Amino acid sequence: MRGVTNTNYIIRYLVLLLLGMMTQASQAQQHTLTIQVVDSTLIPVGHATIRINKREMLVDSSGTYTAGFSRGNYRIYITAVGHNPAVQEIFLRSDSNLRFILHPRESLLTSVFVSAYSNVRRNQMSAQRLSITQIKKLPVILGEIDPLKTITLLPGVKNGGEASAGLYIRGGGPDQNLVLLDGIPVYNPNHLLGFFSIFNGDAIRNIEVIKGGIPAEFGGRLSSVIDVNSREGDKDSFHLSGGIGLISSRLAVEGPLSKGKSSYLISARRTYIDQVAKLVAKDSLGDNGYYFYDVNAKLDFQLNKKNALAFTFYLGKDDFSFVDDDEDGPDRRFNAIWGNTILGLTWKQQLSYKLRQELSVVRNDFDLDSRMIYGTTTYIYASGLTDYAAKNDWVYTANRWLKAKAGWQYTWHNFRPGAGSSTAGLQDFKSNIEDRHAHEAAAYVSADLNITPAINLVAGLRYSYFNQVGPTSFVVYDADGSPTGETEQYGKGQSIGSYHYPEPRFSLLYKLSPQSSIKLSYTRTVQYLHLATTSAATFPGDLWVPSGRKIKPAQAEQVAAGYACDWHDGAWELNVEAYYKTMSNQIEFKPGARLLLNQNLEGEMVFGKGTAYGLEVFFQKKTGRLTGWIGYTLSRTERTFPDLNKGKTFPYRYDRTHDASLVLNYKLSRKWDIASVFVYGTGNALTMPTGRFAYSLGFNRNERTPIFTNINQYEQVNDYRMPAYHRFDLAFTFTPRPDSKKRFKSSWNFGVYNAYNRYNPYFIYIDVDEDLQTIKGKKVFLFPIVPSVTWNFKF
Amino acid sequence: MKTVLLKRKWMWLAVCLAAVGCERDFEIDLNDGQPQLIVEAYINNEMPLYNYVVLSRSKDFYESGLQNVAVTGAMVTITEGMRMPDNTYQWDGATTVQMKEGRLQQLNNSSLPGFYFDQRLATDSINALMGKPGKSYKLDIEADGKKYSAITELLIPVAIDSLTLGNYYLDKNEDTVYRKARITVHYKDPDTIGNTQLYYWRHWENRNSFGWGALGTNRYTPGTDDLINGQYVDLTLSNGFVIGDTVNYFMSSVERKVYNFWDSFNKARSNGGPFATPVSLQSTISGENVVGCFSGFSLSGKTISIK
Repeated sequence: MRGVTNTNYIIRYLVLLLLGMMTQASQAQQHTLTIQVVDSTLIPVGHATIRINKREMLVDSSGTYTAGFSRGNYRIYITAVGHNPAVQEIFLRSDSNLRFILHPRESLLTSVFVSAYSNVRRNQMSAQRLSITQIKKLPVILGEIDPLKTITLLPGVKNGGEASAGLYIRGGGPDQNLVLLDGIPVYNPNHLLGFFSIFNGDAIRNIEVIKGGIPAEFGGRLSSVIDVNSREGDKDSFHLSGGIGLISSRLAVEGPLSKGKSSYLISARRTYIDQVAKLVAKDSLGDNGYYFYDVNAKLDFQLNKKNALAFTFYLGKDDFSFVDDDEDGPDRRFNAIWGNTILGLTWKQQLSYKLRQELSVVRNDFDLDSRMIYGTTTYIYASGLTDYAAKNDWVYTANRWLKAKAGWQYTWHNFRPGAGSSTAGLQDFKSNIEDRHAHEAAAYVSADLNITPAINLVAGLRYSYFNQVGPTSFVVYDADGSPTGETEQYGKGQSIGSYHYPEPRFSLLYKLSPQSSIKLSYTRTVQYLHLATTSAATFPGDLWVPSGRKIKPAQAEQVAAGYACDWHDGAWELNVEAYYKTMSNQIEFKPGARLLLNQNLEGEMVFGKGTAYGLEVFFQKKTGRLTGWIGYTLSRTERTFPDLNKGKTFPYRYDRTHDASLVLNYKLSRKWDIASVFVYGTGNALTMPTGRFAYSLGFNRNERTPIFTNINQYEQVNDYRMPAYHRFDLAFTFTPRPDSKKRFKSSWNFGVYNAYNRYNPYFIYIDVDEDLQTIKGKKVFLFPIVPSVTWNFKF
Repeated sequence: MKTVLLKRKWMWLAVCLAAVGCERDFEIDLNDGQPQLIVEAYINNEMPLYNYVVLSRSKDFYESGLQNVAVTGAMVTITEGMRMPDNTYQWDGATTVQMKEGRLQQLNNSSLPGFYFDQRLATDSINALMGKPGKSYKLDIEADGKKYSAITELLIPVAIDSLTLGNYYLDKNEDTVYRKARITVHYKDPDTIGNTQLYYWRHWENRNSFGWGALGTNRYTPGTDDLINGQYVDLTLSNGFVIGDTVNYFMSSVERKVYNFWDSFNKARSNGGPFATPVSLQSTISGENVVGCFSGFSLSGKTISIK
């Protein structure tokens, strides 16, 4: 492979560079200074700025900064947007740990809003972080806090429409986002067809989206990293918190296991939509029900100064049942239970002031069990996947000019594409789609270089490997979709499809002034797993399919350029970015393709490529009584498939020319907060019929009436536009006793979703009524104006 | 087919959710496509009246009227032949039958524009066109100066061993209550994989109707032996039959391409809702701007009294 030779040179260059810097760094006798920056609730403040004498650095996302200093006097000055600065002078004579507590400026000024870090000085472009406190203030449908919904208010991050689960980031598909919960990939981050995400607001600390310039430590998905960090429990005292909402309630307990050293946090929630709906419409709902619950647990142990353990657990289940056993016609029953189980253990170790490492082991599982009865026909269908993974990351801070990272990851994938059977009376149809297995591995190195005080370069190389292996067998089909009667057998460990690619990543930051910078990045990403889905919603039955013989890994390349500036001490910030992205081996399904229990899934797929480009503007005000942001994206996303649209390029379904959001938060008084969201987006691109005809004709001889079925005729793919989507939401937060010194604290959240009652279509269709002989366009919308109220408490 | 049902079960979930939502009329502006010639052609081995060709034209979506726009005066022929081992065909010109529009006594002398029959049905119905299992048939059409053609093969029919009744239930409507039974069909699937079947029946509701479109059929029953190759099959359809009725039940063995067409037809007809993808028919007719299928049906039939 030619790419490999090129990357060899890059590796050699990087290694030489690293060696040179390391020898330089290890000369003077030095002491380790570890600084931890936390807020008044002891939650780490990531990306705060530290000035030590005249050197300026950023703390990492966990609020920690470690470096070596020679014996002497130091003045440490720490700033973070929305917090009061902290300053301390020390005389360093041995290895030292310092903890800085930054008090939020809220107590002085008014509301603290957006993140504490400055985008101007951070060499990570196309990234936005939202903290849970910000997310909690914004209005949401039915009062359900949802980090995944809130990030769609950021430029470049789009949802698929009303109540759509998928996130479409810079033109990528919904399966191209690496959704991480404490570093563990989540395969199906949604409940209930995407109405809610699995991330419970009580258990989450923050969420970060990286849309471009993806660092080398992340891989496996093409378009973005959505990094969700769960909250640590309070290491000092016990707390109980929770909320009671219209459709769900939450409860969280946290506290120290060993005071100051270890903590636990367990939070749970359950919906009672079904119970609420039954109160409203008991007759029409009957025995049908739907609920979900989830439990998050986090345990943290500070073993000693240098070692810490963190344990993350998530369990969520959705349960849906539908029963129609009225005597008018055949019985219809349906029951499905699905959900994720995630387990992860991470060991963090600070080996020296220069070197730290993290080692994680993970088990990740998604399962669906369903059963359906229709008259004499029964379907039983189960699918899922299980991952076992290990990952190891090393960070070496050589000196103020160089920080190096290296690491590896390995995942053993086990896919259960569909154990299932159907019966038609006595007849059994057993599908024999065997489990699939795959090795996925990657190793990376990256160097973060301050070439001059104004120029920072992060150069990384990730090398990824994927191998789908036996034991498994494939039923061989011919081009017509007819089985040939042959089966391809693969023995245990025998390779079915093996791929490996280099993934170079570069980002460059050039500080024009202390308040402004320009950034450039290049990212190449490879994705070995594809989500097989034919619809706009995400279904629990959607399958993750590994690359293999016919399915090739998808690849993407993205270049992005941006400008960032801030003023008034970082209170105002402007980010402008442009990107261009190409994607290969994109998968679509043939119209009407059958996904479940299909032995010939590959035969239903078509392969093509995609292009996306756009301009994003993000302007935000971070402090003061009024905070918020304006996000705007001008973009275009296209797909080209030889077997679709006669090979002509067509707009992606979620191509959105204009996408804008306005988020405002205003502190009315010490007791009242008001937040509003306005969103506007160009409508989705749809394929609509261009004509119709009658088929399957018959004739009633007595009544002399024709019998027929209307069939639609389609030509161009996605050449119809849905009407633009726009909506305005409002939320009020009322804190009855903001200054109360009592342990018990509570607040009320009142929301109005879709305040001006716009009928944004969920879907549109054309109703052809063969009896009435009429043709009518219809739109179905889900949410008119929806009020909500939630009561939150903590003690 | 199975897909439709499986997809539909998730739709119920959405429907329940959409209980809060509403529906409104909404003007949808559509582009007009190229007009297509629509071909519906059949050849079978049992019912000579059911060997016919219907030609019609597609229309713009909002054009008035839902019925087919007949294409009349076309030149339509069907020729018998054999498929050779090398997958070429030898056509026997002597067997060419010209299909014509005209009134038939069997159809109450009704005028059926766009329906083309072998006119021997009117005069000499014993010698009218009839499909022979094992033979191939070529359809040629010349309409409005353009030529179209299609080939279908009549497979060796798979015999029905027996039909049995069971799974009784009460079917209640607004003012009627029927006790109904379901039919189970018993047959041996041939050892070779790739057999596909469609099911049709005639019962009291359609006894006085004519045409394949008027017969009863089940859109949801799996019709391939992909998962049951070579087995002895006992297949129960969900459809109910009224007690006291007599049902003529047909199992039609079809080529894969014909099965694929009717499978796409079943998907296309049930298309709608939030999760629907636009489905085009898997046409088997060659030519420009043409859609349709020449369906060779190898029938094996049985009659059963519903008790």
